[in-house]
Amino acid sequence: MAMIDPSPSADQLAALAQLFADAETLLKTYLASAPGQNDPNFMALSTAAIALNNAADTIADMQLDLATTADAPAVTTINQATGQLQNAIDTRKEITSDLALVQSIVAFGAAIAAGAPGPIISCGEDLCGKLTA
Amino acid sequence: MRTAPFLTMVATLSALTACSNYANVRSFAGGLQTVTGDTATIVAADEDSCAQNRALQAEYAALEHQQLALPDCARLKTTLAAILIESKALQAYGTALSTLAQDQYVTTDTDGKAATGSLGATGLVKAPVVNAVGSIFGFVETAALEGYRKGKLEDAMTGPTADAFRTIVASFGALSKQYAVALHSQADNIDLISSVFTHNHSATEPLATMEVKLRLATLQSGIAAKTAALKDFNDALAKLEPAFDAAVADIDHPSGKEINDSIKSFAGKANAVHDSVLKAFGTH
Repeated sequence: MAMIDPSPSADQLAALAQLFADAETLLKTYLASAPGQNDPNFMALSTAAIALNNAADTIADMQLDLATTADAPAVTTINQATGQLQNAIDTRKEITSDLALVQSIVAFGAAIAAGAPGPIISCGEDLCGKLTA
Repeated sequence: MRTAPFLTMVATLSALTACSNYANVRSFAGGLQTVTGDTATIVAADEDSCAQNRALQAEYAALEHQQLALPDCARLKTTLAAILIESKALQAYGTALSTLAQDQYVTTDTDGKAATGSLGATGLVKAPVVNAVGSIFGFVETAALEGYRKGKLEDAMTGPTADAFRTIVASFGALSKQYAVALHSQADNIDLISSVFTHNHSATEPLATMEVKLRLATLQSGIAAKTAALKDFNDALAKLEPAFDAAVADIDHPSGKEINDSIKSFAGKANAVHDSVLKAFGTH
């Protein structure tokens, strides 16, 4: 699981990036399948998959510093949401055809890539809500 | 004369020591120079890949009327500039070790303070790495100014300088990981875009779709070669530290001929990497 410290190492960020890359791989596999090809949201899901790749790409070479006390909730949110996402990927929970969920993952990845604690918390909570719904 | 045999032995030992040329250190340093020399090529390709990926996504977004935040290649450029400075430090260190191992004077043409300052200014590298780069450049400059020869090789490969070297190597390893993710992303994006074009246009514009798919297939083939070369580069980096440890052992027990297995493995991999990097990423 991609747990990170408040000032994550390059290896931790690489693991975090890998999580979004894994979500993209799952989505890409679905899109290549017959149900994926016929999915009414094929275009939106394809664009989301590219956005997931971009998020993974950015996270892999970014520096993230959430070491202040005020940033602690963002770190907790990242670890909680990524844990749930990892679990969803591992159990192949239906994250692929649910456009709202996929877009939530994209938003969470983009928030981490931007490094802003506020959006990380709101997007992470949104994702957790969708994953546990 | 009772002292004659003793004097003969001392003279012989001195001659043997003078002849010892730290073959292991030289082989290690040569491998290090090769690997760090290839870094500039890989960094340039990483920048190109980002630009190519961005252009492709812009084309996709325009043709398919999609909203998509494009990759930030300017940010990547700063990261890569930081990696190049780390690479320069390792290369300067490799050159200094090679020179010392041949009992020659170290020279340097890099302004270590300026390079370290630039690295810190990126804000992308943590303080211990910036300090480590400063230590390495500092050692090389001191070696050049004070006329170090092979007697100082142990100082170069132990203590704070060795610690600094290990710190940079660990940070430097982030290059291959980051670029591996970037190549994987790019390859997957091409698959996705190709799939979308087929999905949306193959029935109505078969020739145009085929043309686009051919162009994308060519890009994919280049990415596959780069991925393979990067794997080689990563394998070489993994062999770097064991080879360094073996080279340090050579200081206490210099061998003019026998090359330690781990150094042989590292140096061999470094040469193989050089070839595959040249093939996959073009010429220097």
